[in-house]
Amino acid sequence: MDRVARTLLGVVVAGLCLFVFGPLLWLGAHAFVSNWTYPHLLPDGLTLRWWRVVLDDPNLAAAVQNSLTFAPLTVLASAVICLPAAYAFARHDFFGRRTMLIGLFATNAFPKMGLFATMASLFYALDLMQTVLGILIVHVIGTVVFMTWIPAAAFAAVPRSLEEAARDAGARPLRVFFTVTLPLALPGILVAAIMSFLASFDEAQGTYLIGAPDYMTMPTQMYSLVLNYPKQVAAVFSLMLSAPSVLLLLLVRRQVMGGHLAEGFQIR
Amino acid sequence: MRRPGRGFAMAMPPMLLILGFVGLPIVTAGLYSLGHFGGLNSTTAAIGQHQHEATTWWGTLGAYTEVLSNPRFRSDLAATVGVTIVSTAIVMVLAIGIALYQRFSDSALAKGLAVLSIVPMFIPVVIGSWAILTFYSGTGFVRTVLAQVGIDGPVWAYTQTAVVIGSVWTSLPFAVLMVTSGVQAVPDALIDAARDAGASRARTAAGIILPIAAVPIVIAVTFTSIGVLGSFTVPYLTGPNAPAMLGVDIANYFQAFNQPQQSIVMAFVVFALASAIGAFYVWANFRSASGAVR
Amino acid sequence: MSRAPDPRVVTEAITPKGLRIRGLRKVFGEKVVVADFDLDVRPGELVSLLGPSGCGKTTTLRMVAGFLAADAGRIEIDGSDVVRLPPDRRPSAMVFQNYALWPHMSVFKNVAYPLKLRRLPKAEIERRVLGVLELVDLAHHRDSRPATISGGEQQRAALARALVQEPHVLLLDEPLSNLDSKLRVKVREDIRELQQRLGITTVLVTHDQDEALSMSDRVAVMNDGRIEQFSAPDELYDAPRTSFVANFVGQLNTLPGVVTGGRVAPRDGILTCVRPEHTTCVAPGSGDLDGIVRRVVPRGAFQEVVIDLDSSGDEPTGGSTTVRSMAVRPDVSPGQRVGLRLERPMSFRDGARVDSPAPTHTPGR
Repeated sequence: MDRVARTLLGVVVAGLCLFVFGPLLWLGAHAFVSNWTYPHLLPDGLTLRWWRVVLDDPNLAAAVQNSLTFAPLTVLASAVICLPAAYAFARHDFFGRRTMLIGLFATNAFPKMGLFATMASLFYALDLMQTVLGILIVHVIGTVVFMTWIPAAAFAAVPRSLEEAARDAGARPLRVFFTVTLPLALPGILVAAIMSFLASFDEAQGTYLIGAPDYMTMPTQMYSLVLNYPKQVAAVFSLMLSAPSVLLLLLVRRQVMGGHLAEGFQIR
Repeated sequence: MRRPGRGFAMAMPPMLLILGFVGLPIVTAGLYSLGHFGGLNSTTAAIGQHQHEATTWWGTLGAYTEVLSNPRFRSDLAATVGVTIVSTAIVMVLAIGIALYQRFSDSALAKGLAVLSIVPMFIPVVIGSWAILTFYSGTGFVRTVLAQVGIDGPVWAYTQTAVVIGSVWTSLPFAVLMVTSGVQAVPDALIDAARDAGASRARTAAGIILPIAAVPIVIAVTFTSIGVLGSFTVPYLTGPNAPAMLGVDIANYFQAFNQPQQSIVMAFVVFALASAIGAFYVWANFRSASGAVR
Repeated sequence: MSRAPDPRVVTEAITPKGLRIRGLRKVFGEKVVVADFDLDVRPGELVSLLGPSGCGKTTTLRMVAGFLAADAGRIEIDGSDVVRLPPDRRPSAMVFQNYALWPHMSVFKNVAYPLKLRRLPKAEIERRVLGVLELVDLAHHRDSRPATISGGEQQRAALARALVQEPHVLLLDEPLSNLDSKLRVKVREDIRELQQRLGITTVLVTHDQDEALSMSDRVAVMNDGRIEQFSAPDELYDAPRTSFVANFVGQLNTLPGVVTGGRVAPRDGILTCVRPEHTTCVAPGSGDLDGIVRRVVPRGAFQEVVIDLDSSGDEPTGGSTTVRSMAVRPDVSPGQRVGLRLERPMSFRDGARVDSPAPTHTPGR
């Protein structure tokens, strides 16, 4: 009985491993092969020449640069706009608080593709098409939910008695915030920042609609790459595009797993 | 600190951003779908084809009747709902299984499984979809391996199966994180008490753990299904041309077919479905906030 | 009707033999938490495990319940070894420290849950649950959620959930620690009365000596994973076998030596201990030792007198030793010189009793 359960567990785990990593490894392997003829289990030969193709293409280099600029910029803008609101949702009770929290959720319910289609006319009217600001707005909108909900939960989780003790010790409200509340809420804010970074880094549809062809990011470039280049080039580009987020994963696994994300999605 | 006005003011920046760049476009799009072509809609209306212009003061339902009676749209809608239900079900079974396994076993394998399942969150969706497409394609890994033992494996690329696989792959991390944290939050003593009362692990999971973790589970279901319902990248890269998911249709009608009004109507159909699911989420949250649980 | 061979269902067939623990051992990493632990609890007896936090009492209880696997040893309940059984198959029921009532079920459903697992007929479940709710005086709260009833009521609901299982051994894990002090006294009497009426073999874990002494037939005082002494409450107080027990149960004045010729003289590392209630103020020079009253602390029913003993020249520290005396209205005031009469002194060396512990009172000196 125990052996059956153990074997079953092994099969499930192995299956899940293959399901998650299989496609990534298969694609990644293509970055280093000259050709792979079906149905051979091994590739025809190994080569690094696809890397040269990617590295020599100025369009692709520009896309890398754009992506690495927009993502941090988005996190910063989103933090400035959303963190005060997150604090207000956690600590103040004001008219329409619940409605606003749910209203933020509604941005998630409207299909992204439809939203970008409807946004286009407004962007034309405001002359935001093919501008950095326009792209930034699209990216920030995709992060508002993370940057508001998760830090709000993190702020709310700071015990009031700790703030009161600081007040009692003689600290002014702003000092209390920066010396007690903020440090304690920081892990939650970090998770929000990571989620926002990934959302911005991943955003393709809106960026393409607003920014193309002047501003191509890595994911938007990926679409045309998939259609116009050999599979191996797309594989090389995929590896490059995955590198920053995988690095992020290794750095912050503990924080993301810590439950801040889940905490943030429960409206109180 | 205690003035309600300050809290309201602090909450304004993201609210105004959302109102201006999401709320306003949705409202004007709503008017456009009813055939009002003035104001912000004039640019779109000038280039769109097959448009239904308002005939009464409130507009016309012409675009809606056209889309909803279109057999192709109907089969796409059915495919979208089907893929959403199947993907969400698979995601939840996996997420709950992983969360429960982690609750009952603190082995390295259990922890490894949880880490494994959140990896896709850190891979851009475009890449994940493309990787899945090549993995299950005619010359992909699955068929290559099966060919070694003389089996002609299935080609899942450009089928609804690939869309489901891709949707599960991209949705799994969030669901695992939500459900795991909900299941971990159930106090040890409540589980011990059930075991002490004579419940097996399975009974403890079904009778005690999952009901107490109901809210995070509902949240995971909601966000997973809403995400799949409106998804574009996964079905665009891995799915068949027909029946297509509505996310792809919205893009095609807007750009390729140049029928923005029909595209908007479809967006509203998806929005209506997502709102219904969203209402479920809001209800679950309020139920928990009112003290029924915890 | 066919039933699973659940040990609890065949209660009547088994002659009660109580709980018998032999050589129980638990090691966490390097630390031995429970070391070669033996304990016998007679049928119908209430035994307390008393000790400071970290002494291994809760670990022992969790091993009896089956939540922790023992590294070695046997746990016999009514004659059969349960040490390899998972908690759901042991004939024990536990009342948890925080009650562990399931928040999504009503009081009735909480109590009915164990019976539902045993697939009893609906009518019988109803009858037994209502019976036990009646017993703990909670029938009026049968449909309430745990969060909506008071702490004392939650405690009773948790007790009802344990009792309804008709356990062979009832385990109580600090069951009163979350109640306020007034309520605690009442609830501990209620539990004791119920336990005696139903004749349930019970193990109680507590760090509160009042609780242990007032509720138990016998008390096992634990320290560092071992039992220091296992005796009836009175004997524990009157005849402690180690200085740890003497200190933990009741209060103690400790003098660094033996009392001779009106002073405390060091001898072979012997400590002389006298309880404050056996330390009486008398006229200076007429007692065993002399000292000066530093403070008189009102304690309500009695007063506590704090006395600095006269320092003796050959005391290594040179400082004075402080002792406490308890008396009803002692006729002394701070600064006054008094004599002290010490009754029933106890001598310990390296923590062990070196004079013969006398269970009966030997007045005077």
